[in-house]
Amino acid sequence: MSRFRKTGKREVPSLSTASLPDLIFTILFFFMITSNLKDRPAKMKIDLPEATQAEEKVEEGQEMIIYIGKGMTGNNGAHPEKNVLQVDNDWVSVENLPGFIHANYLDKGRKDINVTIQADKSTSMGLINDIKKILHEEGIRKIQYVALP
Amino acid sequence: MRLKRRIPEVNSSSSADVAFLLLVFFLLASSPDKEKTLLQQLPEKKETPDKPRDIKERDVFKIALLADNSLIYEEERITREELKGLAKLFITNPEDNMYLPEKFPEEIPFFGEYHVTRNHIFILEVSREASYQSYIDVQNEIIAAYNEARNDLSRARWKKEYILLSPEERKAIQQIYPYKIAEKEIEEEEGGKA
Repeated sequence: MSRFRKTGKREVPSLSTASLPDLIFTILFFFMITSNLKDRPAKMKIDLPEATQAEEKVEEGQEMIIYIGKGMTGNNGAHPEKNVLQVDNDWVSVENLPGFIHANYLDKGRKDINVTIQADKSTSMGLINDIKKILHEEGIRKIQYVALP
Repeated sequence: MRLKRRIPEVNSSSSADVAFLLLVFFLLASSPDKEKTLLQQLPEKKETPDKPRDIKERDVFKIALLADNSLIYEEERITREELKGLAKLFITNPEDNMYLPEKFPEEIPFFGEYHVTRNHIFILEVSREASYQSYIDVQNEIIAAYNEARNDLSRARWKKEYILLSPEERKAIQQIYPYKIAEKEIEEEEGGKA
C-alpha cells in the first residue's frame, strides 16, 4: 500500500501532442495525391472572359495550353513583340506555331491534341482566328476556351 | 546505488509547426480549382473541300459580329437575350414555321419517332477587330439556347434536368438537338467604294 501515493497534488497528465505532426503529414499526403500541380502556369496576367455556360474542363488526350495576354505588347509580363503567344512553357510567335506543334507534339507521336486557350477578354478575334486556322491545318479539332462562369 | 536516470525527452512540439508549413507551401503551389471552359469542335480537315450541298435558306441562322462588337441578325442589331430567344426558336421550331428549319421524322431511342430540325446550322461571321469577350458572348448565348432546349425536353420526358440524365438518355437528347455552329471570317472590304 505504500507504493501508491493517493494524497498530495494530483495533476491531470498533460496531453501528448507527439502524434500531431503525423496527422498533418497524412493530410499533406492526401492533398499531394488528389490535386495537380500547375505545371505550365501563365507568365502574364490574363483577364478571362465570362461565360455562364462554361463547364468543367475536359481533360482528354494531350493538352496544349495557349496563353494570350493583354495587348500582347509587353504589358503585364507578356512578350514585348506583338503576336507572340505563350504555348505551354515557351514563347512562340504565330508564324512558328505550326513548327512548334510538330516539334513538341506530332513528331513525338502525341496525336490526340486537346487545345486549351486562355486569352485575355480584350484580345482581337483576328489573332484568335489565325490561331484556329493553324490548329485546323494541323488536324486539331478539339478546342476549349477558358472562361469564368 | 542505481541512479534512476531520466532520459531527457526530445521536445517534438515544433515538428507540428514544420508540418503545417509544408502543408501551406503545398496548398499554395497546387491549383485545386478546375477551370471552366466552353467546348468547341472544329470541322474535319479535308484535303479537297466538300462540294457545296444545297442548303435551304430556312435552315441557316446567319449572325454577324462586327468590329464594334454589335450583333447583326437579318440586317438588324440584336441584343444577347434576343439572340438566345431567336436561336432557341430556330433550333426547336415548335410550330413548324416554314421560315424556320425543316423538321424531319427520325427514330430516336426513348422518344420513338420525333421530328428533328435535321439540317439546321448557325453560321457565325466574325470581324477580325471584334473582341474575344463578345465572341465568347455569342458562343455562350447559342450554347445557352441549345442547353435550354435540351433541358426543356429532358424535363418534359423524364421530369429531370438534363445533367441528371443517364448517358444513353443524354445521347438521345443530343441526337435531337446537336450543336451545329459554323464560323466564317468577315472579309474586310479593301479601300472604300467609289
